[in-house]
Amino acid sequence: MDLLAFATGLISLALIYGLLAIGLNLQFGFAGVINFGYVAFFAVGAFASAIVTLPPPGSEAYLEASARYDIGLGLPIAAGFIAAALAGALLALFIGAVSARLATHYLAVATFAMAEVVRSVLGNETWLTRGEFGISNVPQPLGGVISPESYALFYLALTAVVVGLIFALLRRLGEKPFGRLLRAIKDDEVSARTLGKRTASAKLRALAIGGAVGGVAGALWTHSLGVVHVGQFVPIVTFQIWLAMLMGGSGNHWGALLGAFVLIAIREGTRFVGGIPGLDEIAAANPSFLPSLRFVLIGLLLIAVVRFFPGGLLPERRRKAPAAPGTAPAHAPPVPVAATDGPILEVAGLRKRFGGLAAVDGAGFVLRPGTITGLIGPNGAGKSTMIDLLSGVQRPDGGTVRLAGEDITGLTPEEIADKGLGRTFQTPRLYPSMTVWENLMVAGMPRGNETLRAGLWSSAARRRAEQAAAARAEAVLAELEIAHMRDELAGSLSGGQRKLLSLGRQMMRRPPLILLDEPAAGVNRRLAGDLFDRIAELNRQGTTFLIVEHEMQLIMRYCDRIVVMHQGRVLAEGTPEEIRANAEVIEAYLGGAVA
Amino acid sequence: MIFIQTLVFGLALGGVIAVSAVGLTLAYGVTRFINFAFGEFLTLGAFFCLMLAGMGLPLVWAGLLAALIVGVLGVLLARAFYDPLMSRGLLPLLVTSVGIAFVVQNLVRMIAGSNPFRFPLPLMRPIDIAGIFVPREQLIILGVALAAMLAVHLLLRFTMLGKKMRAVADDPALARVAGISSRRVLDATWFVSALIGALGGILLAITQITVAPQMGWHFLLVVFAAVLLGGIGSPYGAMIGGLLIGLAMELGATYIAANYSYAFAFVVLIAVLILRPRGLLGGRG
Repeated sequence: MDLLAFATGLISLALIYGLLAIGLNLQFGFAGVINFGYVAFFAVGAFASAIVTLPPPGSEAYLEASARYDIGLGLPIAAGFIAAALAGALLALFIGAVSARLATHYLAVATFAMAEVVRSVLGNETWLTRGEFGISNVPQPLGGVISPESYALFYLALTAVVVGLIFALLRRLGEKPFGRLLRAIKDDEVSARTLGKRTASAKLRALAIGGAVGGVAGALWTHSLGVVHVGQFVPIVTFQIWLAMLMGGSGNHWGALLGAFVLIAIREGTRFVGGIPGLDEIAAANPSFLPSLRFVLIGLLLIAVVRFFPGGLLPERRRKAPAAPGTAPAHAPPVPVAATDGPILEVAGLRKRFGGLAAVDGAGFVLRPGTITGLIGPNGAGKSTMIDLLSGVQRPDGGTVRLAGEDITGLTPEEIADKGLGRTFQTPRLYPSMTVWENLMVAGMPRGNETLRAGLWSSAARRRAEQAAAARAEAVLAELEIAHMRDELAGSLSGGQRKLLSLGRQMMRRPPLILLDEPAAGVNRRLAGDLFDRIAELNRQGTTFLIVEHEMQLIMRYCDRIVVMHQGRVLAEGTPEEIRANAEVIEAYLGGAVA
Repeated sequence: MIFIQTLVFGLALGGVIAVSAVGLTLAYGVTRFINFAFGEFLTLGAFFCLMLAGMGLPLVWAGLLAALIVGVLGVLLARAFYDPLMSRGLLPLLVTSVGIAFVVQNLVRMIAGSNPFRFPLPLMRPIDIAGIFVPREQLIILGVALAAMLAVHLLLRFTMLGKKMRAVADDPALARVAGISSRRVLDATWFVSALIGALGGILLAITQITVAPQMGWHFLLVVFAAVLLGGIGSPYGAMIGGLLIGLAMELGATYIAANYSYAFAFVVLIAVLILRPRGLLGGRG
């Protein structure tokens, strides 16, 4: 019977750690947020639930237990769980808001530090938490009703139900457009922003959900122990959760859960190091010998898992796209060009400096709607920087950019993408750990479908939107002749196929203006010709293009106009014939050799 | 009166933080990851110093020898655990460094036990400067800290190694093309980083009067604050950041709430980061 209670207690503990690992996995495995302070959510959840459910001071139960604490609301356990989730989510929102602007390194350190600050506050504010003493007598659900012998089993059942519900909910969320968006952000946030994705708010949501999950885990834990004190929430807890998640395989909730069971098994296994003969004498002289040895083993395990099992026990599996819909593939309708007679893009006096180098130095040109314009120039002329400035990936130091008459200078990449400017990158910035199909689906999914709510409740309208996007993805796959690769990971494609797929992502969105940065570089000649045929076809349907390209034959054959950049300025502008005959261009670009 | 004494203590604590922060940020500049095991260099430095002094070595020599030993250990640890992961991105390195921190800290505890030891500093009479009692220990700390920072400055500015370190920090690929062996620069960087960390640990032991297995891990947080405040990867930023954090902690502890001195480090940090997300001397993210 004792053994049974021991085993059920351990399984409950493993489930609670599994829940923590799942919450962390949502933050890291999905959204790529490196949170080294996850224990803070666990802590505030535990305290919140304890304080909400404790009988108020002075009440009969308080006196009977001769308890000592200053605040207890005496609400039912369910209220405690809700309070725990709220506390975790609020803390996560606060951390996210403060550190939203921080890069990865800063975020890892900032979250680590904030968890320590939380622990310091919980330890010092004795009126709230009784500091180092902690609070005992935390009520246990149905504690008086169920016999002590079977209580462990009852609590295991309760834990399993709560963890199971959250698990199912998060798994569902992970497969919805919201989860897809998070995985895209993890792979390449900048490229997601250039597809119009509001990545900051999506990450904040992932943080908040992860925080709420951590809070609920805290509540489950504190009610199972009946005791809560600040010493339970030291940094090593965070890293045990990391260990569980990494052992299981990040990006995969089943893996996180499995990892937690392995973690608990190992952790309990290390308790038996005391049985090794000869250690007794040392342990007698130094009482911290054995506990420290266990932490050494856990630390070594952490190092070994990262080094030798980078994918974990259950690596993230490749998701299979649903079968192609039987209906005829439907292309995205080209977004109509803004009703303006003027130019679709006007660039004037654009400047960008990097230290002492003026990469773009007062460049200006105009794009007419419905044209294909080539942007050429020697290496270092500022072409790629120009594309970055136009698409908002970098902020110009001066000058203006107008899209269909509207000033878009200095807007964020996602705002510019929404206004109808799409772009590709010189090295295609795909989502390498997602399939070809998923790459297209992320690009083509309207924002309203990527919300949290849309992930939790599906509706007929949302299913229709998903089907419409899937149909468009089929059309793009067929058009680019890559339908046979739909379930391949984007990271395993060849250079040319990546270029095709990054054009395909823009075809999912069909913005009126697309900037292509070297679409044919590294692509074999036949494929490059095909690629430009597709561009010409899209152009016939109304899309305007600005193309940076070194392959002169393609540029001369397909472009209506050519802009030549040299040393950050526009050197010449005109039709291919004019450019071919321009002495200055020949001097600067072709080095006079062709003349 | 109290104010000036607080300033002296703040500057001395700031010196300890600054020295440690320089060690951490130097390694970051070259390797591009924040070493969570850096605090263990502090712990090891203090413990080796304690051990060598216990064997009868004069304290100064014990300190220098301890720093050298930790420097060599730093190189060995990095070669064994960090180098194989250098090409695998940020997370494996971060998690591995946390793992090393736990292993080292608990190995120390297994050998030395959890109870703190008294650092064997001879008793010294405080100096009376115009009616203000300034403890000699604080002046020694400040002096050693300034000397260490000057040494780092000279190293970076005027030696070939320092120039190579700055070159690798600026652009590793370009440095390799220019024929700088990143292998040797890396070794040298880890040696210097661990050595400075050990020195910081010894100074910390003097300020705290005690030596304990978790001292480095706890202090790490404050060192992080200084590094981020100054701008990650910038040694001079780390020096300024360290002094500021030290002052903020002492002033906050004296005038606001004593048991929150760690939290003050972060209030300052967060305030600065909100205004300047890349720190005061804006390093390269």
